[in-house]
Amino acid sequence: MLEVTGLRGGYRENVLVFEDISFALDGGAVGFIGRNGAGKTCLAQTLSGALRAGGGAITLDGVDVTAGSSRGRVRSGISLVPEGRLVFGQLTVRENLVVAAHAAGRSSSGIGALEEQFPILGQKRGRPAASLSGGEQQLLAIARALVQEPKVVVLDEPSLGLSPVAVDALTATLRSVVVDSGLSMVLMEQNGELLSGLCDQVLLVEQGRVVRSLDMHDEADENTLYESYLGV
Amino acid sequence: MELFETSVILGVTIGLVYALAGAGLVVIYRTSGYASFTQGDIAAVSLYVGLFAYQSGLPYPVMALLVVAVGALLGGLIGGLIVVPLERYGPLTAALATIGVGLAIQGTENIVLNPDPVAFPSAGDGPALTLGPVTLSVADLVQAAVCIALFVVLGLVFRFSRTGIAMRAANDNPVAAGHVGLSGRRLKVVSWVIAGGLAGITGLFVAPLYSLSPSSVNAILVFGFATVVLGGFESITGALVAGVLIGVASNLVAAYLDPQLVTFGVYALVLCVLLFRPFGLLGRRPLVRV
Repeated sequence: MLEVTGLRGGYRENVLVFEDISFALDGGAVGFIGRNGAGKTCLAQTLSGALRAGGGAITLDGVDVTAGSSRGRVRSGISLVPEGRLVFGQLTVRENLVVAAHAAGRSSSGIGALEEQFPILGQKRGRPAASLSGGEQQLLAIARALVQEPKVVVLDEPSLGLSPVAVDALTATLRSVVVDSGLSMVLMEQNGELLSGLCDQVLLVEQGRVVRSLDMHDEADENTLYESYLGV
Repeated sequence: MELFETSVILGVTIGLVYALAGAGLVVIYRTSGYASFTQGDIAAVSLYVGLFAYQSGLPYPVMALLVVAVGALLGGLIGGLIVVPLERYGPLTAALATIGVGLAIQGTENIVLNPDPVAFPSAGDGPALTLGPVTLSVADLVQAAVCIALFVVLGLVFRFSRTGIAMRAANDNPVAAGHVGLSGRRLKVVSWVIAGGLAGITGLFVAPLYSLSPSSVNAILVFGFATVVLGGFESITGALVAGVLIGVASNLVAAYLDPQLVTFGVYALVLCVLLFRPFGLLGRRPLVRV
Protein backbone atom coordinates (compact mmCIF):
# COMPACT_ATOMS: atom_id res chain seq x y z
CA MET A 1 0.00 0.00 0.00
CA LEU A 2 1.28 3.44 -0.98
CA GLU A 3 0.64 6.24 1.48
CA VAL A 4 1.63 9.81 0.73
CA THR A 5 1.22 12.30 3.54
CA GLY A 6 1.70 16.06 3.37
CA LEU A 7 4.24 15.73 0.56
CA ARG A 8 5.89 18.89 -0.68
CA GLY A 9 8.71 19.44 -3.09
CA GLY A 10 10.25 21.32 -5.99
CA TYR A 11 13.11 21.30 -8.42
CA ARG A 12 15.26 23.17 -5.92
CA GLU A 13 15.02 23.24 -2.16
CA ASN A 14 13.93 26.87 -1.99
CA VAL A 15 11.53 26.75 -4.96
CA LEU A 16 8.35 25.00 -3.89
CA VAL A 17 6.36 23.53 -6.78
CA PHE A 18 3.76 21.47 -4.92
CA GLU A 19 2.71 21.06 -1.29
CA ASP A 20 0.41 19.22 1.05
CA ILE A 21 -0.20 16.28 -1.29
CA SER A 22 -1.82 13.36 0.52
CA PHE A 23 -3.39 10.19 -0.81
CA ALA A 24 -3.42 6.47 -0.19
CA LEU A 25 -3.55 3.70 -2.75
CA ASP A 26 -3.85 -0.05 -2.37
CA GLY A 27 -4.30 -1.40 -5.89
CA GLY A 28 -6.17 0.43 -8.65
CA ALA A 29 -5.29 3.80 -10.04
CA VAL A 30 -5.35 7.38 -8.85
CA GLY A 31 -4.97 10.26 -11.25
CA PHE A 32 -3.74 13.82 -11.02
CA ILE A 33 -5.05 16.31 -13.54
CA GLY A 34 -3.91 19.89 -13.94
CA ARG A 35 -2.64 22.37 -16.44
CA ASN A 36 0.97 22.75 -17.52
CA GLY A 37 3.00 24.02 -14.60
CA ALA A 38 0.59 22.65 -11.98
CA GLY A 39 3.40 20.52 -10.55
CA LYS A 40 2.48 17.08 -11.90
CA THR A 41 5.89 16.17 -13.33
CA CYS A 42 7.65 17.43 -10.24
CA LEU A 43 5.31 15.32 -8.10
CA ALA A 44 5.88 12.25 -10.30
CA GLN A 45 9.65 12.63 -10.04
CA THR A 46 9.45 13.15 -6.29
CA LEU A 47 7.39 9.98 -5.93
CA SER A 48 9.96 8.09 -8.03
CA GLY A 49 12.93 9.44 -6.09
CA ALA A 50 14.42 11.45 -8.97
CA LEU A 51 13.76 14.61 -6.91
CA ARG A 52 14.17 14.90 -3.17
CA ALA A 53 11.03 15.59 -1.16
CA GLY A 54 11.01 18.91 0.69
CA GLY A 55 8.74 17.54 3.40
CA GLY A 56 6.04 15.00 4.15
CA ALA A 57 6.30 11.25 3.89
CA ILE A 58 6.04 8.46 1.33
CA THR A 59 5.52 5.00 2.77
CA LEU A 60 5.24 1.75 0.85
CA ASP A 61 3.75 -1.19 2.73
CA GLY A 62 4.49 0.64 5.95
CA VAL A 63 8.15 1.32 5.10
CA ASP A 64 9.22 4.97 4.88
CA VAL A 65 10.93 5.43 1.50
CA THR A 66 10.89 9.23 1.47
CA ALA A 67 14.65 9.64 1.63
CA GLY A 68 15.52 7.07 -1.06
CA SER A 69 17.07 7.78 -4.46
CA SER A 70 15.60 6.58 -7.78
CA ARG A 71 17.65 3.42 -7.47
CA GLY A 72 16.41 2.76 -3.94
CA ARG A 73 12.83 3.62 -4.89
CA VAL A 74 12.90 1.23 -7.87
CA ARG A 75 14.29 -1.55 -5.73
CA SER A 76 11.67 -0.96 -3.06
CA GLY A 77 8.89 -1.20 -5.66
CA ILE A 78 8.12 2.21 -7.20
CA SER A 79 8.85 2.55 -10.94
CA LEU A 80 8.42 5.59 -13.15
CA VAL A 81 7.24 5.89 -16.74
CA PRO A 82 8.70 9.32 -17.43
CA GLU A 83 7.22 12.10 -19.50
CA GLY A 84 8.34 11.83 -23.12
CA ARG A 85 8.94 8.06 -22.64
CA LEU A 86 12.73 8.42 -22.59
CA VAL A 87 13.46 4.96 -23.97
CA PHE A 88 17.08 4.07 -24.70
CA GLY A 89 16.94 4.78 -28.43
CA GLN A 90 20.19 3.14 -29.50
CA LEU A 91 19.46 -0.03 -27.52
CA THR A 92 17.17 -2.70 -28.87
CA VAL A 93 13.70 -3.19 -27.45
CA ARG A 94 14.85 -6.27 -25.56
CA GLU A 95 17.95 -4.53 -24.23
CA ASN A 96 15.72 -1.75 -22.87
CA LEU A 97 13.87 -4.38 -20.85
CA VAL A 98 17.02 -6.21 -19.77
CA VAL A 99 18.63 -3.06 -18.47
CA ALA A 100 15.50 -2.07 -16.52
CA ALA A 101 15.29 -5.50 -14.88
CA HIS A 102 19.00 -5.28 -14.05
CA ALA A 103 18.57 -1.83 -12.47
CA ALA A 104 15.82 -3.15 -10.21
CA GLY A 105 17.86 -6.21 -9.22
CA ARG A 106 15.36 -8.51 -10.95
CA SER A 107 16.11 -11.38 -13.32
CA SER A 108 15.29 -11.13 -17.02
CA SER A 109 12.88 -14.06 -16.76
CA GLY A 110 9.82 -11.79 -16.82
CA ILE A 111 10.64 -10.37 -20.25
CA GLY A 112 9.07 -13.27 -22.14
CA ALA A 113 5.74 -12.77 -20.37
CA LEU A 114 5.83 -9.05 -21.12
CA GLU A 115 6.53 -9.74 -24.78
CA GLU A 116 3.41 -11.91 -24.78
CA GLN A 117 1.44 -9.18 -23.03
CA PHE A 118 2.70 -6.58 -25.54
CA PRO A 119 3.14 -8.63 -28.75
CA ILE A 120 4.46 -5.70 -30.78
CA LEU A 121 7.46 -5.51 -28.46
CA GLY A 122 8.12 -9.20 -28.98
CA GLN A 123 7.93 -8.78 -32.74
CA LYS A 124 10.35 -5.85 -32.64
CA ARG A 125 12.62 -7.07 -29.85
CA GLY A 126 15.77 -6.79 -31.98
CA ARG A 127 15.05 -3.29 -33.33
CA PRO A 128 16.54 -0.10 -31.89
CA ALA A 129 13.97 1.54 -29.64
CA ALA A 130 14.36 4.82 -31.52
CA SER A 131 12.88 3.18 -34.61
CA LEU A 132 9.54 2.49 -32.87
CA SER A 133 6.49 4.70 -33.31
CA GLY A 134 5.46 7.03 -30.47
CA GLY A 135 2.75 4.62 -29.29
CA GLU A 136 5.13 1.67 -29.41
CA GLN A 137 7.74 3.61 -27.48
CA GLN A 138 5.12 4.36 -24.83
CA LEU A 139 4.34 0.65 -24.58
CA LEU A 140 8.05 -0.04 -24.23
CA ALA A 141 8.37 2.58 -21.49
CA ILE A 142 5.46 0.93 -19.64
CA ALA A 143 6.90 -2.56 -20.15
CA ARG A 144 10.26 -1.27 -18.95
CA ALA A 145 8.60 -0.23 -15.70
CA LEU A 146 6.64 -3.48 -15.37
CA VAL A 147 9.70 -5.69 -15.84
CA GLN A 148 10.97 -4.16 -12.61
CA GLU A 149 8.09 -5.98 -10.85
CA PRO A 150 6.89 -2.84 -9.07
CA LYS A 151 4.16 -2.47 -6.49
CA VAL A 152 3.45 1.05 -7.74
CA VAL A 153 3.90 2.52 -11.23
CA VAL A 154 3.97 6.29 -11.63
CA LEU A 155 3.12 7.42 -15.17
CA ASP A 156 3.85 10.98 -16.21
CA GLU A 157 1.67 12.14 -19.11
CA PRO A 158 1.57 8.76 -20.88
CA SER A 159 -0.84 10.08 -23.54
CA LEU A 160 1.43 12.97 -24.53
CA GLY A 161 1.91 13.11 -28.30
CA LEU A 162 -0.27 10.10 -29.02
CA SER A 163 -3.18 10.04 -31.48
CA PRO A 164 -6.71 9.52 -30.08
CA VAL A 165 -6.66 5.94 -31.39
CA ALA A 166 -3.34 5.28 -29.68
CA VAL A 167 -4.68 6.82 -26.45
CA ASP A 168 -7.68 4.45 -26.56
CA ALA A 169 -5.33 1.49 -27.02
CA LEU A 170 -3.12 2.77 -24.23
CA THR A 171 -6.11 3.13 -21.89
CA ALA A 172 -7.14 -0.46 -22.57
CA THR A 173 -3.59 -1.67 -22.01
CA LEU A 174 -3.20 0.17 -18.73
CA ARG A 175 -6.60 -1.04 -17.54
CA SER A 176 -5.60 -4.64 -18.19
CA VAL A 177 -2.31 -4.08 -16.38
CA VAL A 178 -4.09 -2.72 -13.29
CA VAL A 179 -6.69 -5.48 -13.30
CA ASP A 180 -4.36 -8.39 -14.10
CA SER A 181 -1.34 -7.50 -12.01
CA GLY A 182 -3.05 -5.92 -9.04
CA LEU A 183 -0.42 -3.22 -8.80
CA SER A 184 -1.14 0.40 -7.97
CA MET A 185 -0.89 3.12 -10.57
CA VAL A 186 -0.43 6.87 -10.17
CA LEU A 187 -1.13 8.88 -13.31
CA MET A 188 -0.22 12.47 -14.06
CA GLU A 189 -2.38 13.45 -17.01
CA GLN A 190 -4.16 16.17 -18.90
CA ASN A 191 -6.25 13.68 -20.82
CA GLY A 192 -9.58 13.30 -19.02
CA GLU A 193 -10.70 10.32 -21.08
CA LEU A 194 -7.69 8.29 -20.12
CA LEU A 195 -8.13 9.19 -16.46
CA SER A 196 -11.84 8.45 -16.36
CA GLY A 197 -11.24 5.14 -18.13
CA LEU A 198 -8.71 4.03 -15.53
CA CYS A 199 -9.04 5.75 -12.20
CA ASP A 200 -11.48 5.54 -9.34
CA GLN A 201 -10.26 8.83 -7.96
CA VAL A 202 -8.82 11.86 -9.73
CA LEU A 203 -7.21 14.75 -7.85
CA LEU A 204 -7.48 18.17 -9.43
CA VAL A 205 -4.23 20.10 -9.03
CA GLU A 206 -3.85 23.84 -9.32
CA GLN A 207 -0.61 25.65 -8.58
CA GLY A 208 0.84 22.70 -6.75
CA ARG A 209 -2.10 22.01 -4.48
CA VAL A 210 -4.93 19.52 -4.66
CA VAL A 211 -8.04 21.65 -4.89
CA ARG A 212 -10.58 18.90 -5.36
CA SER A 213 -10.93 15.15 -5.22
CA LEU A 214 -13.15 13.69 -7.95
CA ASP A 215 -14.92 10.34 -7.67
CA MET A 216 -15.06 8.75 -11.13
CA HIS A 217 -18.16 6.78 -10.16
CA ASP A 218 -20.00 10.06 -9.61
CA GLU A 219 -21.42 11.60 -12.77
CA ALA A 220 -21.14 15.18 -11.52
CA ASP A 221 -17.49 14.68 -10.61
CA GLU A 222 -16.82 13.09 -13.98
CA ASN A 223 -18.32 16.12 -15.66
CA THR A 224 -16.06 18.33 -13.54
CA LEU A 225 -13.10 16.29 -14.77
CA TYR A 226 -14.04 16.89 -18.39
CA GLU A 227 -14.62 20.58 -17.73
CA SER A 228 -11.17 20.72 -16.22
CA TYR A 229 -9.74 18.70 -19.09
CA LEU A 230 -11.35 20.87 -21.73
CA GLY A 231 -10.63 24.06 -19.78
CA VAL A 232 -14.26 25.21 -19.74
CA MET B 1 56.79 -9.66 -52.07
CA GLU B 2 58.80 -10.57 -49.00
CA LEU B 3 58.84 -6.93 -47.93
CA PHE B 4 55.07 -6.74 -48.42
CA GLU B 5 54.42 -9.87 -46.36
CA THR B 6 56.72 -8.66 -43.60
CA SER B 7 55.05 -5.26 -43.51
CA VAL B 8 51.58 -6.80 -43.32
CA ILE B 9 52.37 -9.40 -40.65
CA LEU B 10 54.22 -6.97 -38.41
CA GLY B 11 51.59 -4.33 -39.16
CA VAL B 12 48.85 -6.62 -37.88
CA THR B 13 50.87 -7.34 -34.73
CA ILE B 14 51.42 -3.68 -33.84
CA GLY B 15 47.97 -2.77 -35.15
CA LEU B 16 46.39 -4.98 -32.49
CA VAL B 17 48.17 -2.86 -29.86
CA TYR B 18 46.88 0.34 -31.49
CA ALA B 19 43.45 -1.23 -31.42
CA LEU B 20 43.77 -2.00 -27.72
CA ALA B 21 44.80 1.59 -27.04
CA GLY B 22 41.70 2.69 -28.94
CA ALA B 23 39.49 0.23 -27.03
CA GLY B 24 40.37 1.96 -23.75
CA LEU B 25 39.15 5.22 -25.21
CA VAL B 26 35.99 3.60 -26.57
CA VAL B 27 35.09 2.10 -23.18
CA ILE B 28 35.08 5.50 -21.48
CA TYR B 29 33.39 7.24 -24.42
CA ARG B 30 30.58 4.69 -24.44
CA THR B 31 29.57 5.41 -20.86
CA SER B 32 30.52 9.08 -20.51
CA GLY B 33 30.43 10.57 -24.01
CA TYR B 34 33.90 12.15 -23.93
CA ALA B 35 37.48 11.04 -24.53
CA SER B 36 40.08 10.46 -21.84
CA PHE B 37 43.50 11.97 -22.48
CA THR B 38 45.07 10.36 -19.45
CA GLN B 39 45.31 6.76 -20.64
CA GLY B 40 49.02 7.01 -21.45
CA ASP B 41 49.79 8.48 -18.03
CA ILE B 42 47.83 5.78 -16.22
CA ALA B 43 49.88 3.26 -18.19
CA ALA B 44 53.15 5.03 -17.30
CA VAL B 45 52.47 4.96 -13.53
CA SER B 46 51.45 1.29 -13.72
CA LEU B 47 54.59 0.45 -15.69
CA TYR B 48 56.89 2.24 -13.24
CA VAL B 49 55.30 0.27 -10.38
CA GLY B 50 55.70 -2.91 -12.42
CA LEU B 51 59.31 -2.12 -13.28
CA PHE B 52 60.23 -1.58 -9.64
CA ALA B 53 58.54 -4.87 -8.75
CA TYR B 54 60.33 -6.66 -11.62
CA GLN B 55 63.70 -5.25 -10.59
CA SER B 56 62.94 -6.46 -7.07
CA GLY B 57 62.66 -10.01 -8.36
CA LEU B 58 58.98 -10.41 -9.26
CA PRO B 59 58.53 -12.82 -12.23
CA TYR B 60 57.32 -11.23 -15.50
CA PRO B 61 53.80 -12.78 -15.50
CA VAL B 62 53.11 -11.62 -11.93
CA MET B 63 54.55 -8.20 -12.75
CA ALA B 64 52.24 -8.01 -15.77
CA LEU B 65 49.21 -8.76 -13.59
CA LEU B 66 50.38 -6.13 -11.11
CA VAL B 67 50.62 -3.54 -13.91
CA VAL B 68 47.06 -4.31 -15.00
CA ALA B 69 45.78 -4.17 -11.41
CA VAL B 70 47.51 -0.83 -10.73
CA GLY B 71 46.16 0.55 -14.01
CA ALA B 72 42.63 -0.53 -13.12
CA LEU B 73 42.91 0.89 -9.59
CA LEU B 74 44.38 4.17 -10.80
CA GLY B 75 41.74 4.43 -13.53
CA GLY B 76 39.00 3.87 -10.95
CA LEU B 77 40.47 6.48 -8.60
CA ILE B 78 40.94 9.13 -11.30
CA GLY B 79 37.52 8.47 -12.75
CA GLY B 80 35.66 8.10 -9.46
CA LEU B 81 37.27 10.91 -7.50
CA ILE B 82 38.09 13.52 -10.13
CA VAL B 83 36.68 13.17 -13.63
CA VAL B 84 33.21 11.70 -13.14
CA PRO B 85 32.29 14.18 -10.36
CA LEU B 86 33.34 17.00 -12.70
CA GLU B 87 30.86 15.82 -15.33
CA ARG B 88 28.21 17.95 -13.63
CA TYR B 89 29.97 20.93 -15.25
CA GLY B 90 29.70 19.31 -18.67
CA PRO B 91 31.60 16.74 -20.74
CA LEU B 92 34.11 19.33 -21.96
CA THR B 93 35.14 20.09 -18.38
CA ALA B 94 35.52 16.39 -17.67
CA ALA B 95 37.59 15.84 -20.82
CA LEU B 96 39.81 18.81 -19.98
CA ALA B 97 40.22 17.42 -16.46
CA THR B 98 41.73 14.26 -17.97
CA ILE B 99 44.39 16.45 -19.63
CA GLY B 100 45.05 18.18 -16.31
CA VAL B 101 45.34 14.87 -14.48
CA GLY B 102 47.73 13.57 -17.15
CA LEU B 103 49.96 16.63 -16.91
CA ALA B 104 49.92 16.41 -13.09
CA ILE B 105 50.98 12.77 -13.27
CA GLN B 106 53.79 13.54 -15.73
CA GLY B 107 54.96 16.47 -13.60
CA THR B 108 55.00 14.32 -10.48
CA GLU B 109 56.90 11.56 -12.28
CA ASN B 110 59.47 14.06 -13.53
CA ILE B 111 60.07 15.26 -9.95
CA VAL B 112 59.94 11.93 -8.14
CA LEU B 113 61.58 9.66 -10.75
CA ASN B 114 64.50 9.83 -13.11
CA PRO B 115 62.74 10.98 -16.30
CA ASP B 116 65.36 9.46 -18.61
CA PRO B 117 64.03 6.58 -20.71
CA VAL B 118 64.67 3.16 -19.22
CA ALA B 119 64.42 -0.25 -20.85
CA PHE B 120 61.28 -2.23 -20.03
CA PRO B 121 61.19 -6.03 -20.18
CA SER B 122 59.03 -7.91 -22.69
CA ALA B 123 57.27 -11.27 -22.44
CA GLY B 124 60.22 -12.91 -24.25
CA ASP B 125 62.56 -12.22 -27.15
CA GLY B 126 63.04 -15.80 -28.29
CA PRO B 127 61.52 -17.01 -31.58
CA ALA B 128 58.08 -18.53 -31.23
CA LEU B 129 56.50 -18.78 -34.68
CA THR B 130 57.62 -18.35 -38.27
CA LEU B 131 55.10 -16.92 -40.71
CA GLY B 132 56.59 -16.71 -44.22
CA PRO B 133 59.56 -14.38 -44.05
CA VAL B 134 58.78 -13.23 -40.50
CA THR B 135 59.76 -14.91 -37.25
CA LEU B 136 57.53 -13.72 -34.45
CA SER B 137 58.97 -13.58 -30.94
CA VAL B 138 57.28 -14.89 -27.83
CA ALA B 139 56.38 -11.28 -26.99
CA ASP B 140 54.78 -10.75 -30.42
CA LEU B 141 52.73 -13.90 -30.05
CA VAL B 142 51.64 -13.15 -26.49
CA GLN B 143 50.75 -9.62 -27.56
CA ALA B 144 48.60 -10.81 -30.46
CA ALA B 145 46.89 -13.54 -28.42
CA VAL B 146 46.12 -11.25 -25.48
CA CYS B 147 44.80 -8.49 -27.74
CA ILE B 148 42.52 -10.84 -29.68
CA ALA B 149 41.25 -12.48 -26.48
CA LEU B 150 40.55 -9.09 -24.90
CA PHE B 151 38.60 -7.92 -27.93
CA VAL B 152 36.46 -11.03 -27.84
CA VAL B 153 35.79 -10.54 -24.11
CA LEU B 154 35.07 -6.82 -24.48
CA GLY B 155 32.73 -7.44 -27.39
CA LEU B 156 30.81 -10.09 -25.46
CA VAL B 157 30.63 -7.97 -22.30
CA PHE B 158 29.23 -4.91 -24.09
CA ARG B 159 26.89 -6.90 -26.28
CA PHE B 160 25.43 -9.41 -23.87
CA SER B 161 26.26 -8.77 -20.22
CA ARG B 162 23.75 -6.83 -18.13
CA THR B 163 26.45 -4.46 -16.91
CA GLY B 164 27.66 -3.91 -20.48
CA ILE B 165 24.14 -3.12 -21.69
CA ALA B 166 23.64 -0.85 -18.68
CA MET B 167 26.84 1.03 -19.58
CA ARG B 168 25.52 1.60 -23.10
CA ALA B 169 22.16 2.70 -21.68
CA ALA B 170 23.81 5.22 -19.36
CA ASN B 171 25.56 6.76 -22.36
CA ASP B 172 22.47 6.62 -24.57
CA ASN B 173 20.21 8.54 -22.19
CA PRO B 174 21.64 9.48 -18.78
CA VAL B 175 18.33 10.96 -17.58
CA ALA B 176 16.39 7.82 -18.47
CA ALA B 177 19.11 5.71 -16.89
CA GLY B 178 18.56 7.57 -13.63
CA HIS B 179 14.79 7.11 -13.87
CA VAL B 180 15.03 3.33 -14.31
CA GLY B 181 17.31 3.15 -11.28
CA LEU B 182 20.73 2.74 -12.88
CA SER B 183 23.61 4.27 -11.01
CA GLY B 184 25.27 6.21 -13.83
CA ARG B 185 28.15 7.17 -11.59
CA ARG B 186 28.92 3.56 -10.64
CA LEU B 187 28.81 2.44 -14.27
CA LYS B 188 31.16 5.24 -15.30
CA VAL B 189 33.62 4.33 -12.58
CA VAL B 190 33.47 0.71 -13.78
CA SER B 191 34.31 1.92 -17.29
CA TRP B 192 37.29 3.85 -15.89
CA VAL B 193 38.48 0.71 -14.07
CA ILE B 194 38.25 -1.30 -17.30
CA ALA B 195 39.95 1.44 -19.33
CA GLY B 196 42.69 1.74 -16.70
CA GLY B 197 43.36 -1.99 -16.89
CA LEU B 198 43.47 -1.78 -20.69
CA ALA B 199 45.94 1.12 -20.44
CA GLY B 200 48.17 -1.07 -18.27
CA ILE B 201 48.04 -3.95 -20.76
CA THR B 202 48.69 -1.63 -23.70
CA GLY B 203 51.65 -0.18 -21.82
CA LEU B 204 53.11 -3.65 -21.30
CA PHE B 205 53.25 -4.08 -25.08
CA VAL B 206 54.38 -0.55 -25.93
CA ALA B 207 57.06 0.08 -23.29
CA PRO B 208 59.50 -2.56 -24.57
CA LEU B 209 59.35 -0.85 -28.01
CA TYR B 210 59.52 2.81 -26.96
CA SER B 211 61.31 2.29 -23.57
CA LEU B 212 59.72 3.82 -20.48
CA SER B 213 59.69 7.49 -19.57
CA PRO B 214 56.95 9.73 -18.14
CA SER B 215 55.83 10.66 -21.64
CA SER B 216 56.93 7.75 -23.85
CA VAL B 217 53.74 5.70 -23.51
CA ASN B 218 51.71 8.70 -24.62
CA ALA B 219 53.03 8.03 -28.13
CA ILE B 220 50.50 5.23 -28.31
CA LEU B 221 47.70 7.66 -27.49
CA VAL B 222 48.20 9.33 -30.88
CA PHE B 223 47.56 6.03 -32.62
CA GLY B 224 44.79 5.21 -30.16
CA PHE B 225 42.92 8.38 -31.10
CA ALA B 226 43.50 7.78 -34.80
CA THR B 227 42.07 4.30 -34.25
CA VAL B 228 38.84 5.42 -32.61
CA VAL B 229 38.30 8.29 -35.04
CA LEU B 230 38.73 5.88 -37.91
CA GLY B 231 36.79 2.99 -36.39
CA GLY B 232 34.06 4.99 -34.66
CA PHE B 233 34.18 6.30 -31.11
CA GLU B 234 31.51 3.89 -29.89
CA SER B 235 32.61 0.71 -31.64
CA ILE B 236 34.91 -1.88 -30.07
CA THR B 237 34.93 -3.81 -33.36
CA GLY B 238 35.64 -0.56 -35.19
CA ALA B 239 38.69 -0.01 -32.97
CA LEU B 240 39.93 -3.50 -33.84
CA VAL B 241 39.48 -3.07 -37.59
CA ALA B 242 40.91 0.46 -37.60
CA GLY B 243 43.87 -0.45 -35.40
CA VAL B 244 44.92 -3.28 -37.70
CA LEU B 245 44.33 -1.07 -40.75
CA ILE B 246 46.51 1.69 -39.33
CA GLY B 247 49.21 -0.78 -38.27
CA VAL B 248 49.42 -2.33 -41.74
CA ALA B 249 49.16 1.00 -43.56
CA SER B 250 51.90 2.51 -41.39
CA ASN B 251 54.26 -0.35 -42.13
CA LEU B 252 53.54 -0.23 -45.87
CA VAL B 253 54.16 3.52 -45.96
CA ALA B 254 57.41 3.07 -44.03
CA ALA B 255 58.53 0.19 -46.26
CA TYR B 256 57.62 1.56 -49.69
CA LEU B 257 57.68 5.35 -49.23
CA ASP B 258 59.42 6.96 -46.29
CA PRO B 259 59.30 6.14 -42.56
CA GLN B 260 58.95 9.86 -41.88
CA LEU B 261 55.67 9.87 -43.78
CA VAL B 262 54.01 7.39 -41.38
CA THR B 263 52.27 9.95 -39.17
CA PHE B 264 51.18 11.97 -42.22
CA GLY B 265 49.96 8.78 -43.88
CA VAL B 266 47.91 7.76 -40.84
CA TYR B 267 46.16 11.11 -40.62
CA ALA B 268 45.62 11.24 -44.39
CA LEU B 269 43.95 7.82 -44.18
CA VAL B 270 41.79 8.95 -41.25
CA LEU B 271 40.78 12.09 -43.12
CA CYS B 272 39.87 10.21 -46.28
CA VAL B 273 37.71 7.72 -44.39
CA LEU B 274 35.98 10.46 -42.41
CA LEU B 275 35.07 12.30 -45.59
CA PHE B 276 32.93 9.32 -46.59
CA ARG B 277 32.16 7.82 -43.15
CA PRO B 278 31.95 10.73 -40.68
CA PHE B 279 31.06 8.42 -37.79
CA GLY B 280 33.99 6.13 -38.56
CA LEU B 281 34.16 2.80 -40.37
CA LEU B 282 31.84 0.98 -37.96
CA GLY B 283 30.39 3.92 -36.04
CA ARG B 284 26.66 4.50 -36.42
CA ARG B 285 24.88 7.76 -36.99
CA PRO B 286 22.81 8.39 -33.82
CA LEU B 287 19.24 7.29 -34.48
CA VAL B 288 16.84 9.99 -33.35
CA ARG B 289 13.13 9.97 -33.93
CA VAL B 290 11.86 13.40 -34.98
